[in-house]
Amino acid sequence: MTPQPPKIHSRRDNWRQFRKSKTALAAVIFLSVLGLTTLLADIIANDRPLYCEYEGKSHFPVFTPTKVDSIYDELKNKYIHFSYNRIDWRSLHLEAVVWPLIPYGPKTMDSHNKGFKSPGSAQVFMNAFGEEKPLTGRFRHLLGTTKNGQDVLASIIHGARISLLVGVVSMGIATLIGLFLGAIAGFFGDTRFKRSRGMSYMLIFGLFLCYFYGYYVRKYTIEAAGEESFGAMLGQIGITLLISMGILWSCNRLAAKVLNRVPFFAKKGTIPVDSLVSRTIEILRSVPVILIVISFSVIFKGSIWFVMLVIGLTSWTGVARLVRAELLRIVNLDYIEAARALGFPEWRMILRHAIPNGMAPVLISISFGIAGAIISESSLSFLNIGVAADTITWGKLLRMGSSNFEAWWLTVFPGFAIFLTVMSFNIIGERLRDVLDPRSK
Amino acid sequence: MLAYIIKRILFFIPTLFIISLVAFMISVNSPIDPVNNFVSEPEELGFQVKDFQSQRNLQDSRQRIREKFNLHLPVFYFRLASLAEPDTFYRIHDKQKRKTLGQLLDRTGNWSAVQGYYGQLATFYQGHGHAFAAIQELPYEERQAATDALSTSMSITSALLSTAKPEGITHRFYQLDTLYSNRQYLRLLHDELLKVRFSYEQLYTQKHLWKKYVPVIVWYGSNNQYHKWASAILTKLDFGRSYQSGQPISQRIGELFFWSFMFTLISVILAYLISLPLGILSAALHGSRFDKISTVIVFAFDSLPNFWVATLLLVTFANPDVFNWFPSSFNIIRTGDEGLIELFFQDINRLILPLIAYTYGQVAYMSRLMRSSMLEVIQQDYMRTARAKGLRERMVLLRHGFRNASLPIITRFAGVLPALLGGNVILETIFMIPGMGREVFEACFAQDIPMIMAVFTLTGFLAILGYLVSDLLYAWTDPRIKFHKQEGNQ
Repeated sequence: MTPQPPKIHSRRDNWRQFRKSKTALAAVIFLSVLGLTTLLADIIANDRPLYCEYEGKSHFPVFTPTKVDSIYDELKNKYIHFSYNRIDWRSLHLEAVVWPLIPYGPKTMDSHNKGFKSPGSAQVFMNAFGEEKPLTGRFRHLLGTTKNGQDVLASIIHGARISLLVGVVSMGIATLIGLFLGAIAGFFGDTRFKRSRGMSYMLIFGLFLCYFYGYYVRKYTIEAAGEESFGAMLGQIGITLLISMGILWSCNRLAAKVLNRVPFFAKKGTIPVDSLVSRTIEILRSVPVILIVISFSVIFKGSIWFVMLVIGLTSWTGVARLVRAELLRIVNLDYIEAARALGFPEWRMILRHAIPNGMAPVLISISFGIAGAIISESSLSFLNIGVAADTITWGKLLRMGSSNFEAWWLTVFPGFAIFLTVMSFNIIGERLRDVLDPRSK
Repeated sequence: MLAYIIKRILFFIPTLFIISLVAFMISVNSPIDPVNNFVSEPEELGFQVKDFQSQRNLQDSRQRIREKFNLHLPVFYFRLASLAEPDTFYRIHDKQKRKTLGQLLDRTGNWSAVQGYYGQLATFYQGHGHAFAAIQELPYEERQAATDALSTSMSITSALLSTAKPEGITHRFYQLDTLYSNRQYLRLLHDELLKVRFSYEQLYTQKHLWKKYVPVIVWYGSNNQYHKWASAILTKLDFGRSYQSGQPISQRIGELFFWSFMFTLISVILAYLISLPLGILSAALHGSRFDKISTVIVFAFDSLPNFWVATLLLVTFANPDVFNWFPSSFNIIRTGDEGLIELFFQDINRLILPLIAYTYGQVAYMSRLMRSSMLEVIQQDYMRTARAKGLRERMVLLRHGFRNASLPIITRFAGVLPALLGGNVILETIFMIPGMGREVFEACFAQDIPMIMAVFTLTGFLAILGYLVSDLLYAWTDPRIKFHKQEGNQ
């Protein structure tokens, strides 16, 4: 009997396999629609018309929110100046108008329907002649309103933006860290990371210098930039990173060129990278993360970017553990052996050979991780910490619901949105595990 | 095995040390001054010329509180600093003042000049007191205008005391100059201002910026905050006093932890009681309709955020408009000297909603774990052997299957340890349970640092303990596992 050649799975095979599950496919479609909705949220749910004609002139108010115009009002016999994002377009007598699908924005306070109007209740509006008429059709608040008369559906659509952003950005950070630490832990193990003493000492010294010149000396500069704007702070952090890289590079060069000539420093020793990373993971997993997030969010009030950063910095352990386990296996495979025999540098083996082949399980972890991050963020905004006061999120809608029992729609709909999104990511993660993880076959 | 246990226990120490250090560094670096919890500065202070004495009293009482909580000591054994900073920089306790001085130092690098300028400015500020006394001799109409001018001058000066930007400083100097220029009775202050301006110019003519770039390590020895904190815990199990209530932390934790403990424990037990049979049954009936439905439900449960479930339960079952079956919060009504357990089970009705919210997630997680582990076991040879021996199906499943499949689940019990103490922030907030989670949540807002640190360290400790216990349980229940190999090596 001839031995069968090992089955090779290409990416396309995996996708075909993935697609077989109807639920997983539905989850992917749901998330794509949700993603598209958040991208187009301003066009889908907005209190300004997409297109309108007023006093014989054409306007595109959705696309020009900052525009300021003046219109001659015949009734009052004077010019009215208005900015496009302030005026209530519905109170104007428009000759022709195309409204967005949901004619309310997340911050629109519908003063006629404030105080928790339920989805089925009689909702009213004031027309151009000052008469109160019942709201009909598309203009109804389909999912009810909040205390201030904000449309719940519009809020959910715009809140999805925050949730998805938090999920994606924080898992992006976590993936980068987890991939890096997991890869070096798995690739080098405890025995294969050999460096001369000179290099190890210089590395420690270099890190110390990085702290001093990268952060300590520039502390007030970074702080001042942070007070100015988020972009300026990113710029300063970038400069810090550049300085640190420069310091580490020169320390490395110095060790290689000068110190290694001294026999004492040239002696090679092993650094137990794997143990170091594993212990760090264990410590991080022992720390009550929610406490860190809460105490930091209290200090740095109202920055969603900060929430993302903290969630990212504390949730990389899952990715790192999977990558480590995968690379521990890959390191002993023939093609790594071949690369080693060819004399490729280690970083090239990690980047070009090991990581691309060990990426599959990371996808599983990312998918579950995004679900976790979305829950974390909405829990935080449910507790009213983390996001700026005027940003509406799913968690905040739920918070309103939890303090006003009579407004059941504030509890049911946003919670259901969280549930569906989280479950979709979980379904995808589960399906990815079935497809990619060889053990579960 | 023994060697492994000893190694793990030895590893405890550095891990705990790092966790406590992380907790400590986070809390010390928070920009909020904890002393503000006790002494709040009156809003208008600094504008009232008469209040110099009360301001001094305030500062004295702040200092006393700092000494009571060891906040006047250096933070850690050593400190990495630049040559420009003096050794005694930590003695400036007021965070705003320290920040301003640090910024000035950052721009000039000359400590004695910075000190000279700041000292001059402080004297100038105090000088307003003399000016106020001098004004009292003016006729009434002028006195009113003069007091106003003096107040303006004071507010500008107090702003100067927390400004480090050159533009801001020169702008305020200019403001003061114009204020004094046509007011004869402020002559005295004007002369003082000239001195301040002179020392400010000195600041920029005598720059030693290079000093900023020379790192030095300042050694403080064992008389520091961390040492005092850690040694009190190690020797007396004393976590200090809470800033919020003034009670000793260990006493406060002793009071609150019971509620968190009870809810966590009962919900875990309930979760075991439900999820083990559920997992076994759906594995045994693999592919049946029961299995399919329960898998879907359990999977959905896993994605439900607990705060939503809790709110939904309240909106539905504790709502006078829908079903008013259960109370909406966990009120304890202390009538006499009944024991805590008695108090807990006083009213079963109020336990039901919280327990559902606590339990459903664990049921979801554990029954999935049980099912998959049971499915694995069912395929094993010894199961077939047991059947071949003629054992009844139930015996096969329970005696042979369950015993082997339950290992990962039973060891999970150790993972609950940290929650027993730390509680659940969200559920305790929603159901108003007076447990640790809520206390910590409030502590975060009040910057009650001793409390945060105590909980941080204790839950960290319990988590590591949990890992150790679960590893040992694993080894104990499954003799195939040996720990002589080093972890991480294959």
